[in-house]
Amino acid sequence: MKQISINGIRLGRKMLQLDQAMIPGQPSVPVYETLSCHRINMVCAGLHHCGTAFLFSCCLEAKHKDHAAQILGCPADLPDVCMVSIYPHHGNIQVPGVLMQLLGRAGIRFFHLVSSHAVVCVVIETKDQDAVISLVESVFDLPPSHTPYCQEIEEDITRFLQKYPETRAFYVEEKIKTYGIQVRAGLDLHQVTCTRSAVADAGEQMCRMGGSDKKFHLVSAMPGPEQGYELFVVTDPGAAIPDMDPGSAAGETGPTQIISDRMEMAPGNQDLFFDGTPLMTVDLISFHGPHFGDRYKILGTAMDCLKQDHVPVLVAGCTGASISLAVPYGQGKAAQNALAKGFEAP
Amino acid sequence: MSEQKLILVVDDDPDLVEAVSMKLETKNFRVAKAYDGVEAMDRIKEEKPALVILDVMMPRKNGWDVCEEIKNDPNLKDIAVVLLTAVADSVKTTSYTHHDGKTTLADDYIPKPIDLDELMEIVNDHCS
Repeated sequence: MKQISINGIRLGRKMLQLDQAMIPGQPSVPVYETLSCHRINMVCAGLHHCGTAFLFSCCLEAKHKDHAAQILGCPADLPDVCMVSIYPHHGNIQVPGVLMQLLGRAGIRFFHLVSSHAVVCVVIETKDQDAVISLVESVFDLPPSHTPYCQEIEEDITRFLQKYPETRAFYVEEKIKTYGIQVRAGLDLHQVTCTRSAVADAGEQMCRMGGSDKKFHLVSAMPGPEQGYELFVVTDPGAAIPDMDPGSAAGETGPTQIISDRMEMAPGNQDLFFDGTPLMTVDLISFHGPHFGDRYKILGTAMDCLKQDHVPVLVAGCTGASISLAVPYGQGKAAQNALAKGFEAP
Repeated sequence: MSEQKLILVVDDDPDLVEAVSMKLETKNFRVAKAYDGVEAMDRIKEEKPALVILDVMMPRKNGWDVCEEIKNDPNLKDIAVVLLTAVADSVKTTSYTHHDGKTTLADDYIPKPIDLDELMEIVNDHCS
């Protein structure tokens, strides 16, 4: 098989991992809201909505460890993790697919795998970082001059300012700036559930999805219920968009209920559940803004805007400086309008 | 029909490179991409773009040094350079800073957070 070309590997060190499963009948405040109230930035985050429940995963800088444990009422021994990002993926589904195969075959546990426009990030235990870098370097085609780059933002800034003194200005945006809010309508949402032992097989299935030149627009995988993984992939449509009324893409059953039903269909003793067909048609909203990676309240603002306008989010993935949100087919425009209340788009 | 001009977009934020590239492609430019200063110099020597959109703070080689190398090389000095100048803080508010691009060898500069439409105007000015 031809090696897949990428340009680089980036490392995010000294982070900690938080998860939340919100189950019907157990009301609780979403973790992202609590973090937002306390002005704590998330480095990456993901949200899978299943029926009335949702799974949430996020990464914080380790310096927030005590504060986060205190405000969230969780144990102080939150897992120390790091993030390995590879870029650019050019929408090639084989990039996340191969990455999952590598992790699965090496038996390396991951906490979250999520993509942005250009990057695929995986959150792993810090002790596995070197092994993952070696695996990626051995399988992907990297430029000869490549070295994994670890960004230590504060040190970089200090060093830079010593060399090039600058005038610095601080401001607080009235509305959060973006480079534009994009809507891609009529994409396929695929769902794969697998046990930890079947992660490599799930990665292989993903690679097969890409066999017909379909590009992917969002990947988000995180531990699901019962020791397994829940994986969502949004791809180009494989067939003509079904002729349906906007907003009624899922027929009489709500879109989030479809995901919930599908999860229940997956028998507990089955290692991998993926029948090859898209789960449903969705619209994907994606936006990217200056300093999204350095500030708090982005995901919370997006979720608030959509909630106010009654647009359900099926899957959300945030990493680097971008956010992607899958919403039911036909609701992309409504989502774009809702987001315009909290975000400034040119 | 005029030849599509090649623009090299250089930034260590791959998502920003994608956003700028997509905008340029809609305006009928050809786009090359690089993600750090060393890679940028390789692409510049290889492909001789008409214009380089160049981030300042980057790994391995920063934008000021790349700009200086371009402008001091007789074979490259005619390539227009537009600097993207910003320093992001990992703090609780969005912050930015910009250097007086006119004192550098760059042909133009745009402060971050960039306005893509403004950037397109600058690109058009230098590529017309």
